[in-house]
Amino acid sequence: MRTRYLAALAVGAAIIGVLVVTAPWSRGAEATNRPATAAELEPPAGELDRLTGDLGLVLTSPDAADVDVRIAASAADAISGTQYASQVGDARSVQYLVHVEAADNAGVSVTPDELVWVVHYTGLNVASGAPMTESGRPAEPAVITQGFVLISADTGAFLLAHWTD
Amino acid sequence: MYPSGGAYGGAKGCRRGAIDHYQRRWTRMAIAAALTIAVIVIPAIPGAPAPTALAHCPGGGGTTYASGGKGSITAYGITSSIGWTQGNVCSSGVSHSVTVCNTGSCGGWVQSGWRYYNGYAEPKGYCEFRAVNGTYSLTEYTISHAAHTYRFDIIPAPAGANWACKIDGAVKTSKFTIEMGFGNGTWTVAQGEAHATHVQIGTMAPSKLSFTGLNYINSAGSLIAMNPSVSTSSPYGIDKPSTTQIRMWTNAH
Repeated sequence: MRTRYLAALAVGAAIIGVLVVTAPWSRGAEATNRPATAAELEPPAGELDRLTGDLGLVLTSPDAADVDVRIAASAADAISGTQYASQVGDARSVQYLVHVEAADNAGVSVTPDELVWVVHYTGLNVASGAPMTESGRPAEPAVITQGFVLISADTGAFLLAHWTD
Repeated sequence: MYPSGGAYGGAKGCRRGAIDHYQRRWTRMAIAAALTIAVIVIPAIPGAPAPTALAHCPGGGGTTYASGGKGSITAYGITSSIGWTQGNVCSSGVSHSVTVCNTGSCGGWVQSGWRYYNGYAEPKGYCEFRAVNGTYSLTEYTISHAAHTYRFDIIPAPAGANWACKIDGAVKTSKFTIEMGFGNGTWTVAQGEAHATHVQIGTMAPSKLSFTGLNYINSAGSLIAMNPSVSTSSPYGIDKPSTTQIRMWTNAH
């Protein structure tokens, strides 16, 4: 009888172990609670204006004193890297935190007042898709050289990705 | 039936036998429940890796299409509802989309649809712009699991007309026609585009993925049945049940 209990206990423990191991998938990444560092609050010059223009979002850098993020920059990078592994490969990325002041386009998956990680990839060399032309040959593809993946700093959810030449 | 007498012998033995029986039964039920949880619940955890797909992935680069195009028109937009599948994309990806090209050779284009790449938790809606001067951008959005309506059309605006990309009626991204270098097109195309050999386009035969309500938009803003000419190559198939519908699929391989 004791053997059976031990067997049942072992099965239960194994299942709990599997659930613990797979739990990060369901959340996207380990959550943390800590202030963002100064470096994470300094986007490269001109990038916020560029994203604002491209995406119809008004993005600003948040005040360091007010920022206490649940998702770390490294976790946001991991979430993005998992989704886009086949496209970004080992490309370098930097992460910076932005505050969404307004979302001009009603359809974007971002809400005002949200804190968002921007994971910025550079040095990419990925051929874009292209339409089929009237002659039956594909059009000339563009070359994607950089990408911006927006991840919620609160939940780790993917919000949108923007790829450019 | 509960055990009684025999090897258990007497009232005490009978009681112990009954207790053993219940314990065995509960132990079995506990193990069965645990295994059920392991088999059913774990694969359902959001974000958990999907089971390995059955189709094989022989690899090889190159882009392959199933497409339906319409030329010799003046299009100010295009729209369609596109079906949904989460097929086998090997280590690459696929898109299903509608496009307006400035000319038949597509020096500039606007395209909207959904795309699904290896690593994505699920397909994403997107808006893609290629200006005549070569400037390019593509923006992807989270959308739910369902067929969605994708539409690109010209919206006159006080500051200048723009190409507006809509998914399910909401403008996602737009660009001024002056940025794009064109404000209408002579070639429209609806397509499935596989970015490596044997990446699944549409659904697996005999099932077929539909593009419905396939129309281009004329200068008056009216929807005109696209009635495209369809074409594809192995291992993909395409047909046109009506002037506003095409269907595409991947044959067994």
